[in-house]
Formats: sequence, structure tokens, C-alpha cells
Amino acid sequence: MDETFLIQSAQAGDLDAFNRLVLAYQDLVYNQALRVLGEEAAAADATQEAFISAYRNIKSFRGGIFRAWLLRIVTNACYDDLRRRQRRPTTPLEPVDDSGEEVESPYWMIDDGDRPEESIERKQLEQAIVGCLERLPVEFKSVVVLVDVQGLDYAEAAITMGKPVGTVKSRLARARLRLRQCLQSYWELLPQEFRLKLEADGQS
Amino acid sequence: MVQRAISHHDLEQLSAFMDDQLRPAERRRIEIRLQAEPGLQKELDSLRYTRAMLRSLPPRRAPRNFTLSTAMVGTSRPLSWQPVFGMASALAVVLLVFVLLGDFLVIPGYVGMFPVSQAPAAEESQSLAQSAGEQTKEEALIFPTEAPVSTAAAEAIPQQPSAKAVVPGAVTPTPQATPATGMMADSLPESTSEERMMLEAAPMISEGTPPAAEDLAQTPSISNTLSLTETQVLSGTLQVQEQPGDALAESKESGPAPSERTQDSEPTGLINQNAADSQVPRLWAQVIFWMAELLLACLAVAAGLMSFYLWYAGRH
Repeated sequence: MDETFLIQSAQAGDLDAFNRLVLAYQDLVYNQALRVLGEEAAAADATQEAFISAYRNIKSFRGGIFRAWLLRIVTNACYDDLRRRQRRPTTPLEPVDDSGEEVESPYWMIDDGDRPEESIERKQLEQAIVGCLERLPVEFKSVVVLVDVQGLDYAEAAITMGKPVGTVKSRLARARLRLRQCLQSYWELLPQEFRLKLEADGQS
Repeated sequence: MVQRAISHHDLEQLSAFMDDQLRPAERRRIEIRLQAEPGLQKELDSLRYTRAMLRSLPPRRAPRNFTLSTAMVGTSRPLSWQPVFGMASALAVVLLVFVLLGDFLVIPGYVGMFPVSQAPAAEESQSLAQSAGEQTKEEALIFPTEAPVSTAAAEAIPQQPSAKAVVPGAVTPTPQATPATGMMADSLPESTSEERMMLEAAPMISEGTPPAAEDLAQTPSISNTLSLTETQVLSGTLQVQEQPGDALAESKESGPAPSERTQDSEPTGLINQNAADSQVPRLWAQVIFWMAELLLACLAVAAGLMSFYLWYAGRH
């Protein structure tokens, strides 16, 4: 897929060309929205809004990293959704237990038929990580999802957030420190392949 | 081994060191400190575990396709040039209509599609016909036995054969009246010209059958002569009315014009001169209007085509 050609076609008004870009990046954009918002329905709405906004403003893309440009749009969409939630708190649909705390989001419990090989430990780890992410301020959560979950480097993250690299570095460090305290009790759940990689990085 | 307190700045440096985002000088300093400070190394290890756990999060696939439809983006699309070109085309058409109206109505001297330059010829023919009519009235005053011109002119045509019969041998009035017409038109204002005509008519009568001298002196011959004159006058009048161009040609072809002829031709010359002078600015105005019409027509077509293209491209 010639991304540059598709972008130019989309800028000329070719909706089909833009939809090919959507198919290529929708998983990335949806994951960003899901990890920031923590809800599937909200993540889907933010993803759709992000792509609509991207098409309408496609001519403002003047080259560079298209992935970072898309992620910026969806991150802003997530911020807007969180601000709306703060202004108008909604009644949670998830049930609460006897202590009044919400039961874990149902989507953690969904038996995903596409992942039959995943163990219970993996699911528990995912739940722990998502839970710890939810406790972070939104600006810290965005940067740690961009760099550590989505795999962007500092420059791309700076473009996505619209902040200097130094700000990205500072916020990322503070987000990791907070998560470190939250995830310390779940280190044993870390899959074997990641432990081996950690050891290899430590020895290098 | 000195255990330095680990500051927040140190932890940030460790985080960037972990991602290989430090400058070479800063990286060397951290490496030295990591070898010298086990506590710093422990912090680095914990940060690495945290990052590994975050990276272990499985990527989620999109629950559905988020491709866009024209309905999603068509209603609130950013301002496009399509309506602008459409309005420009409509405006050009309206202006073109106004210019076309002005082409017919505003340019001075325009009478429908015909310039004013043709009018003087019509006016001249009318003036000549009027003068001919006036002269025939004078004829009626001079010869009271004759009928009024208006009725006589209407009756002259069928009466011509009788006139011919009265004057046998006389040359038919119509052919002879042609050269005489010019002379008649020129000489009608003068009463003495009537006498000349009478003298000319006498030899004409004599050409056919040689009349007797006493016949010439008789009133009937005089009356015949008069009727011939009358016929010639009437036929000349008719010919002046019907063929003004010929009258003009005759007046121009016959030698030096008398004073009256000069007076008659002077208004004609002035009219022609004025008409010629007034046609130059009219022609410029006409050219300008044509250029404006052409420009507006091209603009309307181009803007309309562009608007249609943008609309079609936007829909598909």
C-alpha cells in the first residue's frame, strides 16, 4: 500500500483512498482509544469521531508521520470524551458489589474466541494493567500508552501530544513510576517471554 | 561505595536511558553511576519490569470497520469551492442578460437591430415625396381646370390610355416621363418651368401626326397639351413617390444643379455627414458590448462546468 499516494488521493477528495487508510490504522487508533478511555463503547465512538475528523482535516496534513497525526486526533477525541464525562457524570452500567465498588468492566471477562490460547494469568495481568492505567491522570496515561503500549518513540509521541520531547520524557517517567508502584504485586504474572527479554536487556 | 539519594531527575534519566533517549554524555554518566550505585540499578530494573508489563498488553482488534460513507462526511464537509463556482456562473448569466438588454436598448441610435444611418434615406424620400406633392398642388392652382392632385394621381393611371388617345402619336408618358421626371422634380417649384413643359409638349404632339396649325391654336390642342402635362406631372409625381432613389440619382446625374436643387441637396449632405460622425462612437460601444457579452458567456460556461465537476467529484 502506497501510503503517500493514498493520502494525496484522500486530500483530493477520494473517500475510497481514505477508507483504505482507515482499514490500515483502525486497530492502532482503536487500541489507543480503548487504553485511554477504558471502555469499548466509548473507544468505538472516539475512533469513529477521530476518522471523521481526520478526513475532514486531511488537507491539513503536510507530510511527516501519518500514524502520529492520526493518534493525535484520537487522543484529542478521548480528552473531549473524558471532559464530557466529568461535566456530566453518568450512571455506570456495570454492577457494583457489596462494598459499592464497581465490578470489573465486563470486557475483561469476555471469553474472546479469537484468543483461545491465552491463559488466565494473561487475563489477570491485563486486568491489573488496565486497572492501574485507569488510576493515572489522563495526560500521563496518554503518553505511557503511546510509548509503552503502542510502541512510538519520543519524537512521535511529542508530535501526537503536541508537546516538546522534554515534556514527553518527564511525563513518561512520572507515569512509569506511578505504575511501578501499582504493578509491583503482579510482576509474577509477567509472561515468560517478557522475563527472558528483561534479562537479556539487563545483561546488554 | 557512596549511595547517593536518587532524585526524581535521576529517575527521569533512568527512564530515558532505558529508552536510549539520552545524549552520549548523559548516557556515560548514568552508566558510570549504575556501576557504582546498586540502588540506582535496582530502580532501573523496576522501571524495566513496568515497561515490560505494559508492552505485554495484547493489542485489541477493532470490533468493526470504521470506514466512512458519504453520508457521514457529506453533510458537514468543510467549505468547498463548488457552491462558489455555481454562484459565479449564475451571476455571470445574470450580468450577461443585462448586457444583452443594454445591447438592444441602451446604445444610442439603435432601433432594433438596425443602426440609425438608414433613416436619413427614408426621411429624404419622404421629403421629396412631400415636395412633389406640394408642387402638384401648385400645378392645380395654376391650371384650375385640372382636378386636385390627390384625386388626379389616383385617376391618372386609368386615364392615361385616354390621354394617349387624345394625343395620338405622342410618346408614352411613362418612358418619356422618366427623363422628364427628373426635370420635373427639379423644375416643379418654378412656375416658368410649366411654360417650358408646354413648349416641349407642343413639338411632341406634332411628332405623331402633323397637326394643322389651326389645331395647335385651338383650345382642344392646348387642353390636350395640358392634359399631357398633367399626365407627365402626375406620372412624374408617382414615379418620385415610388422611386425616390431614382429621383435622387436623376438629380445628381443631371448637370449643375439650380439653386433650388442645391438647396434640396444641402440638407441631405448634412444628414449624411452627421450620420457618419455619430456612427463611430456607436461602433465602439457596440464592440465593447460584444466583448462584454463574450467574456460573460465564457465565464458563465467555465464556472458552471467547474461547479458541476466539483459537485460530481464530491458525490463520487
